Amino acid sequence: MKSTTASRASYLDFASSQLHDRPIALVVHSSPTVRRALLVTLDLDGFDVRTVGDASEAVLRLSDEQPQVIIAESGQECEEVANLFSQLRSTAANRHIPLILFSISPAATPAREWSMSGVHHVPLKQGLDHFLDVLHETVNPRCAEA
Amino acid sequence: MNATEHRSPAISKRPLDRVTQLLLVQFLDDVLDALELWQSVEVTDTSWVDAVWSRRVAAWAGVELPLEVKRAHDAWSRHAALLSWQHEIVEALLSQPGVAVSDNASAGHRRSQRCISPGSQSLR
Repeated sequence: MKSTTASRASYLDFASSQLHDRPIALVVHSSPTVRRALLVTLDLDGFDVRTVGDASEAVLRLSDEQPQVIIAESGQECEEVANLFSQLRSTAANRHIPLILFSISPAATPAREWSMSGVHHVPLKQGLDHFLDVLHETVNPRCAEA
Repeated sequence: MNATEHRSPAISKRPLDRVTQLLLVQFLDDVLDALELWQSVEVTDTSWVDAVWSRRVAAWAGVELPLEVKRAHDAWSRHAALLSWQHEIVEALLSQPGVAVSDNASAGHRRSQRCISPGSQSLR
């Protein structure tokens, strides 16, 4: 009986940590596989993840819900990312949302105009753990430092 | 190598309660899913598994990754080690007398029967 109670408490602690206070991450990518990979990985790491296929969908989503961070790929679809970036920075309500640009291809480099405050470029060749560290630090700097 | 020798220290030293076992099976299924998805877009790094495990599971349940998983650094061997560990946990669940394993755990186990291979096609 005692172990059942302990199990339930453990489960509730875990369920609570899974459901509450989860930062929202908006993933913008045209590939369903990349979206799903990020969805599963970030969900495992404690994020509440939304996914959209392009910048226009992202802008629509932003009118409903404010994520703590937006994630897109810099190495592909530069025009799409530039469109997203300009949409973000042209709206006062969205201007503060940090943008993380990752690159899968080792050769990919970010465009110069994105190298500014609130935009982080993370090559995945440095490791997905580094990408997740940057993500946590971006969303909650105090937690990342602790 | 028999089942006892292969069993991870985390499982053999401290029996896990059934709820924790069920949650681990589901969590491992998602980890395996993510590894396969990243592999399909040619991202073979698995370092994130240690980081996520440390933040989300070790901190919650005190369950460390087995040594076999920690020592496996390439995507294939790490996937195999995680899948093997998931099998152990499911076997332990099934061996509990009078306990019916939930459909979710069985489904998770079945989902993970698929394996990635070096020749897998990119789904991107």
